[in-house]
Amino acid sequence: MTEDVRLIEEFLQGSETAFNRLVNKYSKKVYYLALRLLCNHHDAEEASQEAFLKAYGSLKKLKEKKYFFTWLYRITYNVCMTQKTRVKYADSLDLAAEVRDLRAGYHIERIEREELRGRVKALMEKLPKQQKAVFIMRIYDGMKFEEIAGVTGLSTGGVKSNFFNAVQKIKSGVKDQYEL
Amino acid sequence: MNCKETNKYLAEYASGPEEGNLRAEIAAHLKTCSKCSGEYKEICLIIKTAGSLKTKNPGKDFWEGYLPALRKKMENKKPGLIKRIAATVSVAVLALFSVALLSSPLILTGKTQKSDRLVTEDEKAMLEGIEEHYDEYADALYGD
Repeated sequence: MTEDVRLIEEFLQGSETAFNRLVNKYSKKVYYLALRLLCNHHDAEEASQEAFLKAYGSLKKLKEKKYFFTWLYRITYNVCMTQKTRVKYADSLDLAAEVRDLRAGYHIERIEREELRGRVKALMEKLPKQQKAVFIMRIYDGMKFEEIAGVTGLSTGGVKSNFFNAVQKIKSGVKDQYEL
Repeated sequence: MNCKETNKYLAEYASGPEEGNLRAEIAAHLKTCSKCSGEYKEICLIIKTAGSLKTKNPGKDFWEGYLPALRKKMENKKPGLIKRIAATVSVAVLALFSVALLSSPLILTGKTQKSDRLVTEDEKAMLEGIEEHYDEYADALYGD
């Protein structure tokens, strides 16, 4: 029995501490997925907590307890997909801090690299929600296409297609500016 | 594998290991095709750049307060004592009303308002008229 399954069993028998442990274990992953999708801290905090609230309320309905994390990720994804963002193109990625760090060792090549990063970041944020979600889960979470399909409810082919389109859009956007 | 097919799989190939036997074919094509090889490098640059973007850490205070904040929301979602009492009282009143309604004489005797309704003056006059002229009607209808 995995740790998650054991904690879920304990929770279903009345242990609130077991649920707390699940929250502590997955809160960062859930929050960062929401942050990357929604692009601002406040919406991400709201969405991630909303996901845990939904999980808390319907955990007894989860049949395959070993897939708890995928299920939780799916809830988070759904919450984020339906949530309207309060701030557009906000500050999920700490680019400004990275540029500040560079000032100590000024180097033209690195500044150009930062420009490229800024451009990629902006293009990523402009991606359609589904493409963005697939791209994020693949690049930042290292998830397999089948796993992403499990979270998003898309077919594996649909996930690959979304990923391909996301990469092409970012590449075209960068190319327009930098003539790659 | 030709260029068109290779291009279709380049993004997923560049994004990391996946099971499947296409990888070897793509790798072989990239070794021999400079155009696809260039495309592959561009995609790798995009993926590498995207992957290097750091996410803002909300800080130690945020993470320390995360679970308590969530627990507070859970408590707020639960109905409070007053709400629970109000709900109980509402259910009790509704139950009493239902019992009173079901045990009313009207329902217990099976009588309805319609069956108890008095005959109106018009209806009474009509019935009297029928009674008065009954023989005439009967004769007209059935004869001798």
